[in-house]
Amino acid sequence: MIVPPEARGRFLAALAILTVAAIAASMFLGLKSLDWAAVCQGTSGGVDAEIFWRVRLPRVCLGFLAGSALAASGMAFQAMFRNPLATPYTLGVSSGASLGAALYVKFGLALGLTGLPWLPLAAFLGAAGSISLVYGLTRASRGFSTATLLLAGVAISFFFTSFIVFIQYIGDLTTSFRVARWLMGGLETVGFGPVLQVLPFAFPGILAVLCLGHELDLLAIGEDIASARGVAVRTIKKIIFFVASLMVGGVVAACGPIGFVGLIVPHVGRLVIGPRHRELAPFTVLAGGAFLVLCDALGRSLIAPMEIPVGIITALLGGPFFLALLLRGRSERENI
Amino acid sequence: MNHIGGLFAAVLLCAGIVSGAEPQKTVPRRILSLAPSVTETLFALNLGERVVGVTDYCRYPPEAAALPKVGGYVTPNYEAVAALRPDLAVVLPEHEEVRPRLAALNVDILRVDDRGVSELLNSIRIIGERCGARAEAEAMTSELKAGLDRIARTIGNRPRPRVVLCLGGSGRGGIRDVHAVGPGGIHHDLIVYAGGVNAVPTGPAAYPVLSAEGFLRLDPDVIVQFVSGDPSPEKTRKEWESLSSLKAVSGGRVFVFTQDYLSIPGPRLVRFIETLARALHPEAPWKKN
Repeated sequence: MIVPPEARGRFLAALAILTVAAIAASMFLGLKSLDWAAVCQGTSGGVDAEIFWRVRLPRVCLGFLAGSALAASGMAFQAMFRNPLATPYTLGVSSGASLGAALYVKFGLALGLTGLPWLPLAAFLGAAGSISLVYGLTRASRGFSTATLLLAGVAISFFFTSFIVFIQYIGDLTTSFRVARWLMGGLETVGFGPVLQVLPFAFPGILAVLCLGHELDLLAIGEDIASARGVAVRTIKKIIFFVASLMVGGVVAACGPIGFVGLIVPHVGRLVIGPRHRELAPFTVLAGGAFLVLCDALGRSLIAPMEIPVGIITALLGGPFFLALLLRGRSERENI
Repeated sequence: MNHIGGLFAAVLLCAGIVSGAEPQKTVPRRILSLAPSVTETLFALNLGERVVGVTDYCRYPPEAAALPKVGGYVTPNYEAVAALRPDLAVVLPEHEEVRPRLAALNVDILRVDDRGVSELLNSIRIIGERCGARAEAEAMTSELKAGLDRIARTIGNRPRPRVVLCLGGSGRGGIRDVHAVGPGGIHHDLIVYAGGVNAVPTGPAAYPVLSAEGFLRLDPDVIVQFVSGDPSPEKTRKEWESLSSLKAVSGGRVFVFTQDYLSIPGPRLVRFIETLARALHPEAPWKKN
């Protein structure tokens, strides 16, 4: 099942081409089949051009960026925690962002906060608060232990989630609808605003994860071994923690919590291309982006004009696919 | 961290400025409704012919159900919106996140609030004024207000029963998952305009869940339950008999209503107040229907 080492370069090149093809194909999927001659005229091309340039294209870009960022951060956390269940949301970044969003929805209008896109800002502040809290708690317990980091993240995640449910419970119907909508996550956008919001976090984050392949390899084996091989373990862990968390915070602030992509894409990568991060990281970035773009294309086409939130599609498609891959990998190993 | 936060704020600010163009105010010809209550109001004001799109949940009046759909209530499909080329979208407060995206598609936006009876009457006026149907809106609000005045006069100074209005219910042989209507909001207004007093005290929750113990403690004179689309209201009403020590149950004053518009704060809901008032004050001199 695993691609042999000598073919991995070619495999990644083929994956890059497939990713571009998936992105291109998703541009054709939507409510309305577009008149491409009109689209090519740019913004002067009427309704079809407007749908393409202002709705579909920004949405596909956002999907790719979000998918890549979530998958890359999931991969980094899984390596750092040496835990296959780690996800981009394990450290409470997503629940922090959701709490920020829920607090804004409940109290923002009362404070007169209108006009600006305050909701993503509040969500990002929530994510940043959660990152600071997890970091502070981990430092306060002396050292920068991975176990403490994980436990602090999980505890804060549970605490914030209860807080969100409480806000929904005490809120009126308007508050409940808005918070529920936020918690569904999604890639709806008109214009490139959210893409610009995500880019400053996703780009450096993805770059860092791609560059830290060797360190991630060693961390995934064990901190002692990494340290013996000359890795500045604490510094690298802090860099991964901040870079990956900020990447997740940026994505969740703009798109809400989109689940599953950050959990399964890195695992699929390990099953297909092996655990070495030099190859796994580019696979995760490309496949994560392509997977989310394709899931979103399905989500907006299956029961159009009603949309299925992309997080539901990622779980419905990704879950069985991942399990099938896992069982097949196991039976192949047993046959050897 | 702070620098990154600042950068993020600056990017958001730029995105907001770019998409925050001030729309022009012309009488709309292609109206998009993003809520069932708004759709109902638009059709009641004879503006139905100008409505080009509605949500999947807009099923009344029947003509509205046949119109092009733009998706869910808080999840519109923006490709569908762009394809319809509306020149006005009528939205509610819960569409706060939808509004900037509609504005980015150069759709003019009219925000109305239907979270209370007076707000609902006001929203009818606002929609009429904005859509060139001021006279129809005035006539409609006057008629609805006259109806409310007539109800108040008929009830007169009769003692006001303490009412718990519940939304939903389990339908599984017990009063589980029942949300009571707290003070404030349109459902609270229904109780007040129908001549009752909301027995649920002011608290942090707008729609608190009440347990059997909660009901026994409040012991209201009347229990009104809205279960939209319940096929067996009589069975639902009988479920309350397990709490026979409640004043409302022993006095036979549990009312279950199943009309689907009870969750849609449109003109029909205002008209429903008389039905409720007749249940709360059966002894009042009501005119025969």
